[in-house]
Amino acid sequence: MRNNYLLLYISLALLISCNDDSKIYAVGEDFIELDTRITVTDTLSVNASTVILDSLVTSTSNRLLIGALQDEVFGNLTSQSFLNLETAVYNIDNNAVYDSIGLILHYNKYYYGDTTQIQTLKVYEIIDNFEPADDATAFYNTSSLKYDDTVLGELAFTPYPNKKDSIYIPINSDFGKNIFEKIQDNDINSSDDLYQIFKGITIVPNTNSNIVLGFSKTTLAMRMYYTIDNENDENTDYYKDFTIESDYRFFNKITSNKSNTLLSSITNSEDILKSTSTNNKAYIQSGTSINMRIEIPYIKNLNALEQNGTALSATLTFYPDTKTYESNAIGVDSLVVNVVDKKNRFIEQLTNVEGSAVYAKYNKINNEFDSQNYYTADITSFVEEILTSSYNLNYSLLFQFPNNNNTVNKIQIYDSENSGSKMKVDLTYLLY
Amino acid sequence: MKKIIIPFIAIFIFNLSSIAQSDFSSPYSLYGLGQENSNYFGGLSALGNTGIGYKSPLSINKSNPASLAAMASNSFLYEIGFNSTFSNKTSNNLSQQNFDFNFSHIAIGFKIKDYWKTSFGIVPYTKVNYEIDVVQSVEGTTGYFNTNIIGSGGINEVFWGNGINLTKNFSVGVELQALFGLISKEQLIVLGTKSVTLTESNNYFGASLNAGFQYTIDDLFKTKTTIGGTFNVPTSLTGSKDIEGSKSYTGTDTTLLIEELDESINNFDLPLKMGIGISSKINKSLLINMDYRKNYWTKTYTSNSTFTYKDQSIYGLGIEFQPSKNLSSFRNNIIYRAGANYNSGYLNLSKQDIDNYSFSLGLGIPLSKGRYPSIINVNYSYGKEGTLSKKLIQDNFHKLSINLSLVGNWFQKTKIF
Repeated sequence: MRNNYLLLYISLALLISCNDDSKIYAVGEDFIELDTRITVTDTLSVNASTVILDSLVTSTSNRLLIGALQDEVFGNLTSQSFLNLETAVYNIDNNAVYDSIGLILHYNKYYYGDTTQIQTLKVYEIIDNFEPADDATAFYNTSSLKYDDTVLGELAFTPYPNKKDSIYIPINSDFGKNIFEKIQDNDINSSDDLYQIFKGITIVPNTNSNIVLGFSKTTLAMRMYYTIDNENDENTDYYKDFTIESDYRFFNKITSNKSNTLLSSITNSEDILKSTSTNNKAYIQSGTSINMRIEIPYIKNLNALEQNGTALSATLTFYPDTKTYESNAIGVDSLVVNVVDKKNRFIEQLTNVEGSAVYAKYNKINNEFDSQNYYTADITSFVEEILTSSYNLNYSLLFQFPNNNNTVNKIQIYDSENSGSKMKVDLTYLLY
Repeated sequence: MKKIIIPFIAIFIFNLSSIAQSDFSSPYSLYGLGQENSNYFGGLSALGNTGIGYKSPLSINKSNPASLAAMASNSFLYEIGFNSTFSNKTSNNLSQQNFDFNFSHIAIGFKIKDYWKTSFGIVPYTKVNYEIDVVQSVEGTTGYFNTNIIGSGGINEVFWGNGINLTKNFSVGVELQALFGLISKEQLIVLGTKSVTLTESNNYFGASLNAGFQYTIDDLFKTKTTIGGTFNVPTSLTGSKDIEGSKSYTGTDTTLLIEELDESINNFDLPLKMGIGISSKINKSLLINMDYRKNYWTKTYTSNSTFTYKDQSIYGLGIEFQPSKNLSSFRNNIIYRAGANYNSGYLNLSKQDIDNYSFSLGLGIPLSKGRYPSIINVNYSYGKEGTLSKKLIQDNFHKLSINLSLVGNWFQKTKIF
């Protein structure tokens, strides 16, 4: 009997330990003393500046960017494409008769500028070997190759990048005939043979125009037309396409003349031009590799607080000068965020705490009282890295357009001096 | 007899593995080492937590080590306690109910010599058990964040009590106490998907000594009255602190924020405690206990802005009635108990004393008709702690405890001659 009682209680003691976790225990809230505080502050200093990096590889761009922009703020821009052309089979029927040659360029939807004006494109023949400069391993936006000043082909046209499919630039017939005969006579049997007499072409815009057009790189073709008489005495049309076969022999040269702009003082990629010298705005332009640099110099000071603390989140907000960007331009709705050191050397692309890439996202507020657009970027992991590193990292953030080598988009960002559109970091910080 | 030993040992092991369980949760256990244990052995919980003058041959009385001397010579005594508490805590306009069931103590007592009896056991000394959710505003915004604070742990006491009969009517006792335990406070701070966990664990250990006497006057105004006194020397517990903190942004990832182990902390001083009690047998059926205890907390601790320690006074009154031991009917063998207790507490929060009072009723049910029966003590008490004023908390509690006072006649066989 006694044992039974005992065992009953033991089992009760073991069993009963239930606790309802969802319950809120508010009693006691008033007199518990907590040292923990969470504060959100937007008073951290944020220094914006503009930097121009010189190593933007344009060979990997998926489009030819050809055109010019008249721009007093960013500097007049010119973009021309350099390309080497090859074909697959170096063999033409002995009975074939050469007809003509021309360049087919397909629009690929991207353009920047004014489509209403007539644009003139000229084709020249490259006379340099199609190789990067001596000290370089790739072609950059600043690379160039010498070309013959004889115009090989020319077309003046009104661009319809959204309506029309392609443009056709006729090329000097004798140029085509020369290649045609050499292939037909088996003087040219391979791409190497062709390269010996033909390095490639460059397509040059009128520098006074005000549009940059994007053309597809993969469908570009220099098409050589010819005919072959058959036994029925009927002429049959044939053509041979010369296309871009290698990223190593293609690039867009995108340059801008900044000498009359506020950016003129930047001479190399280590130069940091403070936004206070550029009307309190920072510059971003793809193609020319103009980047906004943001430094948050005093993050580390949080560690000097007497109380322990940790960052819970950090959000960077900045406002674009909406006058500076074309609303129809593709790809302004987000910006890539890179981490760079004090000399603007690339460290890493910023990833969030879950490991995926961080972008500055474009937000639009449109209501009847307010119409304001701004970018926000979750820079929590950056702040965390700075705070927890045992070194004084001196890292900054670099903002650029995605597809930086693919477009000539531009934007200006207000810095932290502008009262209505102030760049700021909202830091949520826990003190414990 | 052996049948009872096996579960006894099982409980003992179980108890050691889960020591320092609280008997009920209270936000007041935030302070100091937590709430003092208020579970007394046997039927004393129903006698208003009295017992300094009380002596019984059949149960261990931890209130005064001198009372051990009264233990029946041939017996081996066990004490096991369980209790459950239902409490309703109210603050200004909030209330919450808690239910709690616990194993509260275990002890054994036996004789070493005819004049010297001893006891061993483990009891919770203090208990920390609270859970509080605090909503705080995020400074600089209109938002809020939640902090969930859970306090747990407590100080355990392992004791070795000795009672010695100096004369037929005068006994003295001394109890050595080893005090040790872990008190931890875990904070879970949540803001959106982000959370920070901070755990602070204080580890204390120390020793203490409790001395007492009992003197029985066989005929004081036709009563048999025992006067007892206890004296607990002031002591201090040394401690160390571990702090651990981690952060999670999404709930799945965690990064270590802080880990500081074995940091030294201030010693925790325990006060001089004195008690005096009278236990008076009016006649064969009726017994009255009266206790007064005083704990000198003021001397132990410097106050800070939120709370101060003050000297604690505890008054207890208990009446025990047993119709007759000699009648064979079961009902007449039951012991009926009633008591009242007032405890001034030692905390003063917002210039308000946190005191409590309780009323208790109880039954002692003998399990056999022998001269030395084992007894199941069922004790019920209702009480109130704290106050609603100054934004404090009032706790109305119903506590049911079941204490087993088991008697084994181990030494009987050797006594046969």
